[in-house]
Amino acid sequence: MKRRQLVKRNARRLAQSLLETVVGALVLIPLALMSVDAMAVINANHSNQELAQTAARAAANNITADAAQKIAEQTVSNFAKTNLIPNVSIASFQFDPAQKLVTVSVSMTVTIPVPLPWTSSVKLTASSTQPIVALPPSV
Amino acid sequence: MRHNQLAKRVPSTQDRKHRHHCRKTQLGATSAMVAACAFVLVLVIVAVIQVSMKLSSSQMVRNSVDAGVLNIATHVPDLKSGAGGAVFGDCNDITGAVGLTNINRVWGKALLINANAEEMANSGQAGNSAGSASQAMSGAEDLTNNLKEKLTDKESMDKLFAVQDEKKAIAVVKKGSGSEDSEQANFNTAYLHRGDESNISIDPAQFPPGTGDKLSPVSKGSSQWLGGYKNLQVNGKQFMFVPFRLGEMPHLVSPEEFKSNQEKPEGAIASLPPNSYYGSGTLSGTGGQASANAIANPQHTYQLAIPHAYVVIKLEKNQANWTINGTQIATSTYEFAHEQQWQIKDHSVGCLSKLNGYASLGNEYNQKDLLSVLTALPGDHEPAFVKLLQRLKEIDAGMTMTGMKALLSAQQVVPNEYEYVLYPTYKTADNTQPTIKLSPQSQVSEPWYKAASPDGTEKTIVAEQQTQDNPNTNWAQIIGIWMLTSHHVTENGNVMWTPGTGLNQCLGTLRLQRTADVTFGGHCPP
Repeated sequence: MKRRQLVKRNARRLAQSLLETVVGALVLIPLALMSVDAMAVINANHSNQELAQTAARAAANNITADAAQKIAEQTVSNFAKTNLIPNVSIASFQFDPAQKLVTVSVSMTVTIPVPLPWTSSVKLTASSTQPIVALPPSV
Repeated sequence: MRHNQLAKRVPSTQDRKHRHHCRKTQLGATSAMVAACAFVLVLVIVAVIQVSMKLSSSQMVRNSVDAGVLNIATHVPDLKSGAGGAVFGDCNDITGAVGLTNINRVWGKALLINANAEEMANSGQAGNSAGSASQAMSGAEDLTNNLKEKLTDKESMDKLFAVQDEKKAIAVVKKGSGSEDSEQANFNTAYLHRGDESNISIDPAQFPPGTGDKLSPVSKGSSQWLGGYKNLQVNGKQFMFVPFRLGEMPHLVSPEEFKSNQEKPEGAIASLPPNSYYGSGTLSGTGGQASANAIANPQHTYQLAIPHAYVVIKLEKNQANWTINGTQIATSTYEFAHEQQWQIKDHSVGCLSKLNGYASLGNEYNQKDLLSVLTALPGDHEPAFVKLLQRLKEIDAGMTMTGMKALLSAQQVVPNEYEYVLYPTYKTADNTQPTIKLSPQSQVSEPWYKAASPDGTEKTIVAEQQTQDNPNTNWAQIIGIWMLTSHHVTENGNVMWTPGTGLNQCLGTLRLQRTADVTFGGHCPP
């Protein structure tokens, strides 16, 4: 009788632990997976900012809008795409010779490593404005 | 034995309470561990996000400060000190002002004026050239002082530093982040690329002999350039130009290079314009800070020149001295066309005789061009042409001896015009790409032209060889028995050079003066 009670008690304890583990896993695993997603997006955002700046700097070395845009597009197209970042493009390009400023906005699609129920990718946009160093002053 | 052991295991009331407590603790252990892990995980995630944000913001501030400082370096040539005034107005840019781009041009003109003054002093023709040289120096220094104020004005720098509009990321960089030490301090500046080329190209032949030898120009590309941030000595004065490397755009420079060049070059005037700029910025809210240094480059070059200047060729009226047997009877002048003169009229020569003396004069000028006139009499005229060419090269470095002589050949000598001006015309508003023209003074229509005398003193540089009866001749009519034994027209001339510094536009006057001796010889019959 006592042994049966002992077995019963152990089984209940095991079940409870199992239940707690399952519930814990239900909390921890999504958290861990979300952290992976967050890291991926943060990294991609960083890359996007760098890319926007690099493209703007490259564009700033040209005196015509056409040449500047071409080199900016070339810079963006040279970006090594991955499974995580399948698509990068120039969202907007502004060449202002009067102010001697060029602004390049780069749009980056980031595939979320662990898809969320409501989305599997996010779109990041970064822009950089650089002085057009190639334009000589009005003299 | 076994019974005893079992008996021992019978729990007491106290044991039962303890076991119940332990069971409850065990039951919550996994939950607590899960909660702790979740808490730690959340903390880690937040920390990672914070660090990433921090990294991202510091990258942002770095990028922003880089862009801001680069924008300063790109736009500083747009900060102008105002017009060049009476002395350096010809060095203005197309906006009618002097800035970092053309400040070297101003100093280039001052350098040439001083080189001229040095040569004039060396040749004993100084005149008022020392005053002109000093005036050029003080004028250039005044302009440079004004420019330096603009180039280090904190408000202007702040505006340039805030390169983007307020909504964008860069706007979070605090403006006015000049010196880290003081809010009141100006943006830090430096003097980079010492000894490298400035944006003034030169031809050594532009300098008067013996004055440009110590300039040690920098050879770059296919041209020679005045060196920047190094002492150039001319006329006992120090000149320093701002270096701008050929083919370079404004760009960022390392902090080490910047810091090691913050001291002014030795011998520099207090207002020597810097070519490099420092700025720092702080990202609001995050405390992220960054600094950057950039060097300016206007990407515009000039040829060393005194843009508004000219050289004058002055033809004096010729003098004819009429003599009979060595006694001067009359004097006359003749100009730049053939004429027949009769200056000795019924002059008694003894033995009841009279002499009428005639001469055909001005044949050296008749229908002649300026080059032929200048070389009408034999002699080595090259020193005169060399002087002319050197001064013309100060206006247009591309002028050649062939080109100059072609201009002289193309200009006919015009009656009643005694001065001919070699001057430049410009199609550009900033007085670049000159075309040298030659016109009688009355026909010079350039608005900037102001007739002036050179500030040096005159010296003969060509003594022409005497000619006889070529191209002018004379003859006589004798009334009576007086015997004419000889009649000649001998002619000689000098070419004089009065150098000018160019401060008052005049770079020199070449003056041609010739004298014809119309002689008659004879005697009464024995």
